[in-house]
Amino acid sequence: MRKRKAAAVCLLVVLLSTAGCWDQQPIDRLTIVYALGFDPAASDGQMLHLQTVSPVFERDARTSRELMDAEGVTFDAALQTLQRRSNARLVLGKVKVVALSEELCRLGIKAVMHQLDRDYQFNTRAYLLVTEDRVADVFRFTPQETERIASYIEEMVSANTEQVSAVPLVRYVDFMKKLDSRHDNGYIPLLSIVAEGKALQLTGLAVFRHDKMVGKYDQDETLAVMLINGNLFDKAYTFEMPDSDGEIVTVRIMGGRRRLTVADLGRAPEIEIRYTAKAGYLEEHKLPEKIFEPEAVAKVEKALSENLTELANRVMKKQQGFGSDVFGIGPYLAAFCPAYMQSVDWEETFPRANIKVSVDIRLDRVGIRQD
Amino acid sequence: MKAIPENKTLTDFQMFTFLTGIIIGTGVLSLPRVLAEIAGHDLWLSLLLGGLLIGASGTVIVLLCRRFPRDNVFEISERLLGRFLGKLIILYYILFGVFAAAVVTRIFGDLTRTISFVRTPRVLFIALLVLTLAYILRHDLVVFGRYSELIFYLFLPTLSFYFLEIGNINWLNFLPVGAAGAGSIVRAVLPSLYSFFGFEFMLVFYPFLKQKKNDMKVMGAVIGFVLLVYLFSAVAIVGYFGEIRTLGLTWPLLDYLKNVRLPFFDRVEQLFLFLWVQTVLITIGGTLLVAVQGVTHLLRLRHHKFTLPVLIPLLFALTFIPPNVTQTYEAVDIVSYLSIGGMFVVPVLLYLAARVKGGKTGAKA
Repeated sequence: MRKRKAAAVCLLVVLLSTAGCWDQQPIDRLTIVYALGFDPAASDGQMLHLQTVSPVFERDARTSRELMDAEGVTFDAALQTLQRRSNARLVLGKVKVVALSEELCRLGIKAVMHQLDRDYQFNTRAYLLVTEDRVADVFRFTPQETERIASYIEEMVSANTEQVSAVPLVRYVDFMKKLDSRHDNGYIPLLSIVAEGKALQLTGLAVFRHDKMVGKYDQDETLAVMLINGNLFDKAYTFEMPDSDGEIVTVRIMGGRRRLTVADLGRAPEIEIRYTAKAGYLEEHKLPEKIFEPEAVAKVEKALSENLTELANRVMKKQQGFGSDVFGIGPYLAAFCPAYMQSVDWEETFPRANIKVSVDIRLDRVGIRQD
Repeated sequence: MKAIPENKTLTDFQMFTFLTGIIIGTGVLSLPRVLAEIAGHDLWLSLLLGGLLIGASGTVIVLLCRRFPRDNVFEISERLLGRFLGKLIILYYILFGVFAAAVVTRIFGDLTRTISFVRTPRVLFIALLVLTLAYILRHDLVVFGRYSELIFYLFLPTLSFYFLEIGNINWLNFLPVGAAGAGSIVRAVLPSLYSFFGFEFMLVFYPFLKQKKNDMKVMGAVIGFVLLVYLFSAVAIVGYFGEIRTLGLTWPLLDYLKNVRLPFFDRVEQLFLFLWVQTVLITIGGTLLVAVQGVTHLLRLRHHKFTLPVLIPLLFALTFIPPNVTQTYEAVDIVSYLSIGGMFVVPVLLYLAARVKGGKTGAKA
């Protein structure tokens, strides 16, 4: 009997002292942060302006989102200030969006990114965005559909990138891989307030050299960046047919392959990037010829390939001007021509490299109408 | 050693799960970083070389055990090397068993406090773990064997986690092959060997194997399976993060799993940790059992459970010696160096002695 009593006491002690008692987190005592935003608080970027968006679930609440902001020398300092003002514990495990203003990105984001990296609870799969406007303004923007700005941005980004726009989804972890890479550089989608302040839209791509933003691209140029990278899948592209009275054609590029060949390795290496892809569904056209005829198909293919070749080469030149390789050429050369890469400084070599891009698109589906 | 009754022996599969459970402990969490620090993206080559060496040592161990199928390493060493040297070897196994179990317990405590239960006192985790261990170890080895078998079925599906991000693996991260240089690749073989510690405990538990004719198959399966798990882990992590980022992560496997998503489960690494805790229990229990068996043999006790009132508190006390994580990993280094003795020195020494002295050969149950 005594043994049983001792066992019962032991079990009770174990039950009462299990981990939940110390690490319990009642949901009504948490402020779950859905979006983090960063602006520079001073022009030199020494002070950081942190903005958070959290959903409010109480039925009788006046608003469905809670915006909080604070300034600090570092992210941690600003977060601690926010925590002191908050009546609940701030939780970063469900962050969906991290928005960085263009102004901050041009100053450098290494400190912010590395501080997020050290927080184990932070959701490393959060989407990264660069805002052309101040993040504070973007987070205060109220879409017509909903007040929940963080969820709205997250859904808009994923819907856009999956269905329409060539702008890629970039998660925090994807960018960190590039930031920690020897020869690679990253890019982040650009988000802007458009239509005279009435809408939010993905407008293109911000490209980086290490942790600093060095330039940006519009939607078409973004398509070319992704094409050169070989990361284009199921994206629409609209262009004007030459010598055909301004006829507009929209094609859906269904994904292709990029082949990189090195013709010469020297002070200015000669590199050729060849992109081949299939495209389907002429979604919109008023061509005089019947599109089901082989000549008409060949004509569209030729015009499309030439158009994209010209666009891709223009983007390549522009990127060389920015001085950062975002196309994975450096990592490719490091893998296949390691001796050469050890003998050169790729950051200096990339801008003067002679890189030619050629695009070859084949139409394999031309829609369901013959006229 | 007197013959072990059939109902107290382990089946091939139980022995396989028991030994793999001991090997796959805390090392798997940090192995890719540790190897990448020396061999860079060629870590997989070091792992393969390490696996080959472990395979050779495993073969020697099985050949030695076949000569003395009813004896464990304590009896074999006393018989072949004499009482003094034999007792030194027993002492080595006792010290190694207790220290290694204490170090793994401490890492477990530190990790759960860093990742999941930040505010819960470390002492509580360790006390709960040690109490559970004491309960399991009171019984015969067969209970531990059954427990290992059960946990293996639970842990096996977690291997699929390595493949969930396979689409995001950049294979260029592994090129050019051999860039680290032969010297670095060979130097990284040593830490890869440490990660296999546990397979050599076959020397202690061999008499418990029911079908001794399958001994070589069991050993081969243990080493092959663990090598495969380590290779999957190293390739998935370096392929996903790249070499430089991997070097900056304390427990790269957990960071990798943090980025894996299942459609119905958000934080996969927490699920992994929950299942991993069970295998850590086998690692700590199996390692401590070596010390337990050693003390039992040294003091000629009737049952190993009589050693637990001393060894369990000792284990508990030792886990609190390192003041911080850095010093815990210094203790890991010491245990790693010590493990080479059990993995290579003792088996080869005993095997050579057996060849010279001519122990029993070809005896099979």
